[in-house]
Amino acid sequence: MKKNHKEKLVNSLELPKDLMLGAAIVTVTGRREVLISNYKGILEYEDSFIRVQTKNCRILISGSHLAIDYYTNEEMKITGFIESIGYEN
Amino acid sequence: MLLSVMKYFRGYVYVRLTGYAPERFLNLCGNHDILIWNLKPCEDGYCFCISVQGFRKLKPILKKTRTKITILKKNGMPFQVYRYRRRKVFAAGLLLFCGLLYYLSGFVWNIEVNGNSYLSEEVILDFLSEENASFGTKISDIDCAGLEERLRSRYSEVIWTSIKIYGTKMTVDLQENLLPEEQYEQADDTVYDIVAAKDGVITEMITRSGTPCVTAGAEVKKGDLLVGGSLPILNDDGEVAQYLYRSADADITARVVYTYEDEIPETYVKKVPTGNQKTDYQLTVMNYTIKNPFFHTKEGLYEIVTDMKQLHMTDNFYLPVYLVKKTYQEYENVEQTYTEAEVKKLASENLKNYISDLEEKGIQIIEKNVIIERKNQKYVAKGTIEALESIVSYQPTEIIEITSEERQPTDESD
Repeated sequence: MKKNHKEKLVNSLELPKDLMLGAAIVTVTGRREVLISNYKGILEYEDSFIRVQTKNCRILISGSHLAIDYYTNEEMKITGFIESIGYEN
Repeated sequence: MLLSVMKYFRGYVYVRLTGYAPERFLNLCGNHDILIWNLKPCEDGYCFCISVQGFRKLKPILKKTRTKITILKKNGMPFQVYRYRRRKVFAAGLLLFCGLLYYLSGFVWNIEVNGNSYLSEEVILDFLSEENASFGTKISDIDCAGLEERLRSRYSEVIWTSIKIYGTKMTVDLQENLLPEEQYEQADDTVYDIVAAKDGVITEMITRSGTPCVTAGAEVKKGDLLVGGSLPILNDDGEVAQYLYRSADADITARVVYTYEDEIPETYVKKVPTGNQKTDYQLTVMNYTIKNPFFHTKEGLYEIVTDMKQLHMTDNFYLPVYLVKKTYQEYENVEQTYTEAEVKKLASENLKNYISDLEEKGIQIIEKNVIIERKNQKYVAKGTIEALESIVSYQPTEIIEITSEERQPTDESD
């Protein structure tokens, strides 16, 4: 319930959710490019899928010929042929 | 784009990572702010690019995650410099190039002249080369303020100049006095008479200042005084007490007779081109001419048309190098005779040219009387042309001194 209160507060004050709640931002450009920011780390990485840990959940990006263009503490850029983007708890 | 240039100059390596926990290695790299790019999974591990700086910081991370790293390729300038370290001549050339560029940028290589209308650009450039401030002069040797002053004092037309040097370009801005030249002549103290420039009969005369000496209808010879610049003042006895001087100014038109004579020989030599044509190219550097050794013409008569082109670097920096194109056109001399109609046409054309030349000078033709005669194998056109024209020409007035002893008593008596 505490979490809900915080969410309500952030919502009503219109604060940025990525900063306040640690929500990941996933920007998808077409079918070949995904930009993920505000994440914790890479869990698994293969040619056909990438699993990224964020504060609240894990993001699974699957496809083929996946490559990481660059990888820094703030954001990473994934290119390749993307088939699905999923969220796991 | 900029980022990749930065990466190139800093240098980076393409490596393969293998071992126990490569994912953890990647996360640790992220946490340590080590940039990794072009990450790709490959057989038993990952391949990626990492900067040289980042690579040096990897040791503790490798130990912690029990992974191994292998360098596959070294990229970037630091590695290339190391690879080519033995090419000393190349490095020297590069250094020499930079040095030369720096050295040569200390000279004037371009001159721009703005605002000139009376003075041509060549005049200004000649002035600059006389002052040793032309193309190829060291910029530090040029005294712009001094040049401006000398340019103004040399050419009276120039009332304002500004000479600036930006980079290797010199800009000469100037402003000319746009008032016509005559006004200067009027300004000087000399008093002028008007004398006849030609023989003739005066038809019209309007005197604005001065003492008229002739009237309309008078016949004058070249050099006769028409309007005097001196005005005699008489005393009570009718003697000249003194002269007042003022430049004469008048419009005087006179009827002037020109004699016209033109000769046209009956036979003439015409150059008939045979159609053979050859072109030769030459290169002239300073005073040396490089000829084409393979060029020959057959013996005969040729008309040679030479076309010279001077090379220039900027708009007005001309080099002493000319490209010469010579066209040889062969011709034959053929003797021909004019028919009477042709002669008439030719003669009237010559006369027309003569008259239009006169009219261009502002001379008004009233009458022409020209006859064509045939005289031993020649046609002679002879006659007179009567015209109206201004015969004003200026000449300094003779100043007549009257001794002061003569004048003073009259002054006192007044």
